[in-house]
Amino acid sequence: MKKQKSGNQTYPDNDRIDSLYTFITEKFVVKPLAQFVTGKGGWIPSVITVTSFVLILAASATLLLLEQGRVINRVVVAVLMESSFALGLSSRQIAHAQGTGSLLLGAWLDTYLKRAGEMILYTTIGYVTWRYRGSFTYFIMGSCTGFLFTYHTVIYALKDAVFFDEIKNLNLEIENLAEVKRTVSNVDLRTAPGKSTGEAKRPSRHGALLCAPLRLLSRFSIGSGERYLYPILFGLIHRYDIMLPLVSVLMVVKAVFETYVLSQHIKGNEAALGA
Amino acid sequence: MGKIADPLITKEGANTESFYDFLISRYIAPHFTFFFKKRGVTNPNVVSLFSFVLILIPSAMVLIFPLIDSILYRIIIAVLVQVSFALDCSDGQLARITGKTSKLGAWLDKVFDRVGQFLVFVCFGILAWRQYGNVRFLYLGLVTGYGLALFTLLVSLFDSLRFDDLDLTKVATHRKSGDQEPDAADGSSKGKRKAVFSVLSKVFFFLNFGIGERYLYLSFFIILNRVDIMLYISTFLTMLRVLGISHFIYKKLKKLDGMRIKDEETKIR
Repeated sequence: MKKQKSGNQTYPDNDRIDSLYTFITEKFVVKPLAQFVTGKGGWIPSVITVTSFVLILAASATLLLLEQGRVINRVVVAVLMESSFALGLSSRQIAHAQGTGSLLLGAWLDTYLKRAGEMILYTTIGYVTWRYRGSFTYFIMGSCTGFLFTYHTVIYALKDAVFFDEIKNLNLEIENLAEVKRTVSNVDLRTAPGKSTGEAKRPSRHGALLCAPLRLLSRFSIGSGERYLYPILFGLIHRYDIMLPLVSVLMVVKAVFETYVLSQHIKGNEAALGA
Repeated sequence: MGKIADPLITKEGANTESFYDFLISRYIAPHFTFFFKKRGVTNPNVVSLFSFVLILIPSAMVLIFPLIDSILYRIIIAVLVQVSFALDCSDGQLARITGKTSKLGAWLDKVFDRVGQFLVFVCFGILAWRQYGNVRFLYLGLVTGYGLALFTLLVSLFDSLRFDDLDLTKVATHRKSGDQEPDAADGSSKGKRKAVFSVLSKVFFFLNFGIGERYLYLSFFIILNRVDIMLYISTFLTMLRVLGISHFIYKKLKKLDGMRIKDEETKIR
């Protein structure tokens, strides 16, 4: 059987370079860090994941407890956030370098702690902005954005869960568990080997015209990197009141768009299964 | 309302995660199912959407019209919450009896549930905050909403990481119904531990904070006009649930990884 190529992965927020900022951090910070740590040996990726989570908690606590009017406090928060983001990215690379990249516990812990950390960070940002600017709306924006990050991952994981048995039954040639995880999400049952139903339904021209900018917007405006980049930048200039409306609107667009895209994907796969 | 003994409907009862879910699925939801079928509504996704909209109405009501002192108002909210839950149970039943079960439906049902629950707890947190003048209730509502979202994340991640060497169906059934495993009867410490776990599972089946209980507590305490107590209980039970499932999944995945590493070592030798 022909092996499926892996492209998009199960939890896009974690496993895919989905933004310019992630790409830059990965290239200039994470790779050298991962090489250094792998050379030293004895570093456990799960410990790095937990450290990244602790750092995001520390950033939230600093934001909450220290006066954000002072530049030094804002710099401390920014450094903590950036360190947490870089460590979060490097844990996966270190796992792959050590040959433990296919272990389930690490993948599960990584996604779980990242989403929990993001929820806590954005709620804290919302709370701090509410306190400084006096409008409760900021708190609601922060909380809902935090929830939507988790929602985004949940819809992907639920999709994988509903189709797992069918994909497993295709008997794809899969080398390891990480490959399974990638394949599960990536496979399009309409064109999968063993399925002769062939023709995947193409979107209409108007649909494609509408989808293309939305896809770009949803992928590159609020990917995994931007979730950290925006708080760092707007935190440094002490303008979370501008950031929160921007991020929450982007996140709502992304959530609605991806829900629509996933529902179409599920529908298409299901039609192929039925045929 | 009487019991409906259609095997396609009673099947739903077997899949419920707690006692209250079972009661509603078995005795109330079937009436809605047949009502929809009679009226020609055969698309279960429409029922899921209707259930979602119905849960948004009380959430919006408590935010926009805070007439919480009126008993009639509180009863209306409680009834809407319960009807929404019954519809949530009946969409699966409708799908089965009309032969329209679908992956999309299963996915949509879960997605609507999770968003609805988050919104309802946040809105009730805001209500209690306004009512008692204490911002703590807002945080409790938010923590419950987040906890439920995290719980779904944990379970769905776990489900999507299923592999041949883990029979999750057995694990899930054991977790839900508390079936005793064969070696629970032996006298060893492992057997005793399993027996204790089995008893605890049965207790949790009745006290579980499943979707039904969430809506039950919500309705019950809103009628009593004590949303504050509901928020304390919900937050406590949600946190307990998140910690419990995290521990459970952590142990399972650790075991699986251990088995896998062992396998690889054997292959290399």
